[in-house]
Amino acid sequence: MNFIDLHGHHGAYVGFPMPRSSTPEMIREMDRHQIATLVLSPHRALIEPGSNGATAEILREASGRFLAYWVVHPHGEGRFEREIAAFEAARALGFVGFKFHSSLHQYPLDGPRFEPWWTYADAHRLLVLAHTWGGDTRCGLENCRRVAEKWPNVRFVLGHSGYHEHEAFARLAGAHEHLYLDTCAVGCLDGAIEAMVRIAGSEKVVFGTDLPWFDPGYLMGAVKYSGIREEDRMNILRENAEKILAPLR
Amino acid sequence: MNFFDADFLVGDGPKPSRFPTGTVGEVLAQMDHFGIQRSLFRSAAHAWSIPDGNRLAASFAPGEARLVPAWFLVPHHAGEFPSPEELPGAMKRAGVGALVCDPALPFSTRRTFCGDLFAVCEERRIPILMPAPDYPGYEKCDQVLCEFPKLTLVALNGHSWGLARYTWPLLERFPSFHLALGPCRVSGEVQETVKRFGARRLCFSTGAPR
Ligand SMILES: [Zn+2]
Repeated sequence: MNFIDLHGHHGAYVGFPMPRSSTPEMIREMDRHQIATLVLSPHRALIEPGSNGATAEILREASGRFLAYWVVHPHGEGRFEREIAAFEAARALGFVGFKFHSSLHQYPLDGPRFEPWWTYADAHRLLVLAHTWGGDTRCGLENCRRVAEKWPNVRFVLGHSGYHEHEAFARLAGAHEHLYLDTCAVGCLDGAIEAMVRIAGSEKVVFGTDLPWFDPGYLMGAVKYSGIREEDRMNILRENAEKILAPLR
Repeated sequence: MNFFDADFLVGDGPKPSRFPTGTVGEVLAQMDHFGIQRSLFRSAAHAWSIPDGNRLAASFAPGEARLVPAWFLVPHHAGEFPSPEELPGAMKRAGVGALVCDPALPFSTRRTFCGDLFAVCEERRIPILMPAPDYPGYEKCDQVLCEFPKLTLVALNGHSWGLARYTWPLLERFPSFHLALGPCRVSGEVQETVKRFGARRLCFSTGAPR
């Protein structure tokens, strides 16, 4: 059992019933697909500002199988100092970095309220996962480019690889050492994984499923049938994430 | 494992595809790549003409047991489609396995328009595939099944997220309602559906090559 999934969530969600969203159910799904580690941001933390503390309980419950992103909310003043102290205090439980969701939170990824967070992540070489989407002016290609240029030490995973614009995002990832594409959702698009590997190299693509949204098998199938080499598949499913996480665990 | 794909599109459409399916050889090569043994297919020509699409579907791969054509159903009154009396014989002669009833096309599925055709399909157990690309698609399935509760109706799911709220009520109420899964991919959803209703109510479908 050795695959690593860098893009997951947790818990019930308002949009539709998710049959595998509790900790034991998610761990069973991970076992079934040989996923050793999942890095997640719970739905609650994404929706409700100030609820990252509840993620700590989920990490305890999963005894080592989960790691977590601290969800950064853009709205509300004077939050950074207070929250960063809480993040540092909780880091030993398995927080490895930050999650930004500029589409959900309607605030640009490169906006000034996020600056102290990016600066901190850069100084501490943290892992950051951001939701990115082709054509979205808050988390599109140019937002990501500005961030990647300004904070080059962040291990920055482009969630969904800029869905619809994965080729342009792949060129961006190929040009920045610490920038990565992920397979989440975008892997379902015909030819996307093959194109990302061809343009950016398999060392720049990590495995993400959005569990409990996607059945991991769906995206594993996308990697398997993408037509890339076995060595490239292993880079995506394990090797790259292992290297990213090693200094952060 | 042997797969039977309940929804495969053949012929060249207006958009280019990485996987051409213009010829029988190309379609079979695609199916082989994914380990699919048989496919029920519709013709890209259905996009411009129902009678031509039906004619081209029937003549696409005659005698090829791996490819089963589907016809598009429209009301027969304008002479575009076999009458209820002619339908079973015409389907048999053309080797047609099922009918697609697409509520997005400009016709009504109510009794006055399609009732006689649905009645013969119900009686002869001819499967009707109904594309459900969005949630109201399931309301259409419900409307048809309320009038013809024994019709073998297969919803061609086009949704990625959250089928339970829409399909479980239909599966529960109508024993002849079936679901072709399409892009259904929520973790555990297929398993939970099978647990409640059995695998016989579900079909594998790709919607390939889209
Ligand atoms: Zn996500």
